[in-house]
Amino acid sequence: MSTPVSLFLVLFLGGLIGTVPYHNFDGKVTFYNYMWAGIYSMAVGLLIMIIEYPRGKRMKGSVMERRFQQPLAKFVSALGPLTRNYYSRFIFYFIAGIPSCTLITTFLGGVGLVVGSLIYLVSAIKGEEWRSPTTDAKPKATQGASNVKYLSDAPKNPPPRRPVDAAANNQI
Amino acid sequence: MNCHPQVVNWVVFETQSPIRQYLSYQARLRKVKVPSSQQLNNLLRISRLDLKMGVLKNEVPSWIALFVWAGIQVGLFGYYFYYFHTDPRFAYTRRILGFGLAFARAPANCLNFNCMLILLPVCRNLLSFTRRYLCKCCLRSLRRLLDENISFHKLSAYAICFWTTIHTVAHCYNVEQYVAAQSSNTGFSVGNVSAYQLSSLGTGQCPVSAKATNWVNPICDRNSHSVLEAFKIFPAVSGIIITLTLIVIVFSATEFIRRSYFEIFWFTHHIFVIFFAFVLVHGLRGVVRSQDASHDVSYCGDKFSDWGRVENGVLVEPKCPLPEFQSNTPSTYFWIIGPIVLYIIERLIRFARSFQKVTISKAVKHPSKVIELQMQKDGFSMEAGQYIFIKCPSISRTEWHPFTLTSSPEEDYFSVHIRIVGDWTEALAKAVGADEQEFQDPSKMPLLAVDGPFGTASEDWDQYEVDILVGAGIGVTPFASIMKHMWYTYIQSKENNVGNCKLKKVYFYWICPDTNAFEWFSDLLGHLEDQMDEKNCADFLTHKIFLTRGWDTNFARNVALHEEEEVDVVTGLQQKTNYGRPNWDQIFSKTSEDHPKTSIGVFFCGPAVLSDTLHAMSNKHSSADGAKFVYNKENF
Repeated sequence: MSTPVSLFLVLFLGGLIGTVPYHNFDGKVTFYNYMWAGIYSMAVGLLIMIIEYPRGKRMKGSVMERRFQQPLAKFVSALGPLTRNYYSRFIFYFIAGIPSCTLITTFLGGVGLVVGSLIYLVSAIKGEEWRSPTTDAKPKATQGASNVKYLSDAPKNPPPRRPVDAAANNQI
Repeated sequence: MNCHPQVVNWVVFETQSPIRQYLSYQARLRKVKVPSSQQLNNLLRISRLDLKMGVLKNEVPSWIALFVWAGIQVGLFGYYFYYFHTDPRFAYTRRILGFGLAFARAPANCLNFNCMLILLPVCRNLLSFTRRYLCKCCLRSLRRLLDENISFHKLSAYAICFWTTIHTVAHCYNVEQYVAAQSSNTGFSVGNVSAYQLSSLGTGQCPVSAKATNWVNPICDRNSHSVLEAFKIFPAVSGIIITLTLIVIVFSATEFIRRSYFEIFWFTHHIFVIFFAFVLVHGLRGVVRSQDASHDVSYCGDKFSDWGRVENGVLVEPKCPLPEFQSNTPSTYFWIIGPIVLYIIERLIRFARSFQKVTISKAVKHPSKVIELQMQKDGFSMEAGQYIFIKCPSISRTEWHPFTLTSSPEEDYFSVHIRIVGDWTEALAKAVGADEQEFQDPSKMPLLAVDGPFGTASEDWDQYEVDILVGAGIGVTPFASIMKHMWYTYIQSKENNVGNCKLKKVYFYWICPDTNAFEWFSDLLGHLEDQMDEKNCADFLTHKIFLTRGWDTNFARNVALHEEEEVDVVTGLQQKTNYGRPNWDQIFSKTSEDHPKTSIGVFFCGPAVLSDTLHAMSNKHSSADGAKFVYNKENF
């Protein structure tokens, strides 16, 4: 799902704003209270992005993989039950969300993590887990594959060819 | 037998443009990616776009609408930013919040504006009503704008996300400032009144009461924590809820989720009810405050110690009483209550429609898992190219599924063709008894509810002398109804001089990966062909079928062997099937040569990529003194 992008955006943007100093009402350079939570949230946002980026296999039907997801999918698979099992994801998200709730700019992201963790809890109870879509997938046929079959010979009449209109009786 | 693959080879190449052909050959040699014909078309489009007639006709109305919409927002933002940043009534709030005030309030008004707009494009009955009754007289281009409803819904949604980001960030900053101002001890400066001094006003009693006029800083506790304090302010709590629902709605509406998990998209989109409920009450507490005019800011700003100080029964500084603070008048109500009422009416109409009686007069089983339902309903009147929503309560009480009408208005029933591809359609086929040999009698048919019909751009086909219809894949369905209707109208005006039919000629391009799924459609085309032969009007309709996939060497051999025969091998129609994709450049320039100085309507239903190509083609091949192509698109 789009959890990675949404959580990443909210956590990262919130963390960034919570980390940057500003001039307060008395003209003093000030940091947000609990500014460390901003740095923490940015890091958690990145980590969530890495874990969530590769799309898992669906229970039914096919899934369209994200671009360049394969190395990350390997990484997520490699960590084993730590990332594949949804119970462990539930615990991780829940705990990871709490520190973010201490800074006002990352509070939304923190709540988002906790809500996300609850969704994982529900999925885990339903018996779902993350499965790599690539392990048993055959190499995908490219779109022009059927044409390639007939391309054993080069065209007899190499380009540039006759004007389009002259060769067009197949069309109009 | 070596020659046959060569024939195939030739066919493949000639259906592509020479540029693309050359590129693909070169690319295969070098193993690089072939630019799609879409990309090539874009290249051509950029160089020839300029100020052509077609651009004017096709694009200008939507550009104007976009411009007005964006202009209003820029105006709202500018006006309110200036107002909140300069108005002396907000001077003391601004002393604490600085730019935070204007950056929170200006986007709030843009949010009101977009929340007002976002519900309107999804009121399909309202749109249908507008199109039918209010816009009959208006320009066609204005009516065509109504077909962009979903694009506009999305556009407003993006705008809401954008302004929400600014609004939320600004208010996070504001809460932090309020808390900091209440906690700072640096405030008793001699000069201008300090944020801390202002914050100390009216905090004798915590929490501050909403009705009291003596406070400006809603945070009451000293040295508290911003997140904890935010939970004590209602607008902050409702704001968190609104933003969370917005995040869920937006990120469950991405194309991937709509395509793969439609139910998730559909149900999460309905938490918009929570969204609007909290948007309505978000501003009611009025936490951002302005002081009244009796307290002169420019004079009293540096006399904090004398504010409201009474000596011998008189004010020491008569111009400087203790300032009285008032809440902003909540305005969200005025913006969004109208659309909410309209939307509720819309849902009531849908609800009422689900109780109207629909009789299935006939169910027909077509080859390739397609069933046709012919239905009747009191007071149902349709136009060609429209669609309806069908609900079958015995399958699901909540699901409404859209289907294109395939009957023409001249017929005494309305029909849909349903392809059995998913859970719902399978259940429906079972319910009407499609898996049994004999069909059930009408009394045993399941109850259906029908909402609609709803209009689309194809209602405009009679405005042009020549029409080009392009249906790709499942997108051919609306053209079943439209072509039947065109034919009936044409032959009636020709034979009986009934009505005034501008239309002279129809080109129909049908592009499909394989014809199997649409055998019923070629039946219909064949039927039309017969009728036209009977009336000696074979010229009226020219249709071309392009088979893009689903054929191999054997198939091609078969086609090559039957090259000389009268009818097509695949469809049995008089016009031969083409293989590969159509060369639009050629088709459009040929058509404009054949019909100079004519206004030509281009109607398309199918995938977005092809829609863009055709749109670009319409613009490219239109000229002031030649043919004018006007592009129309169906929405699904």
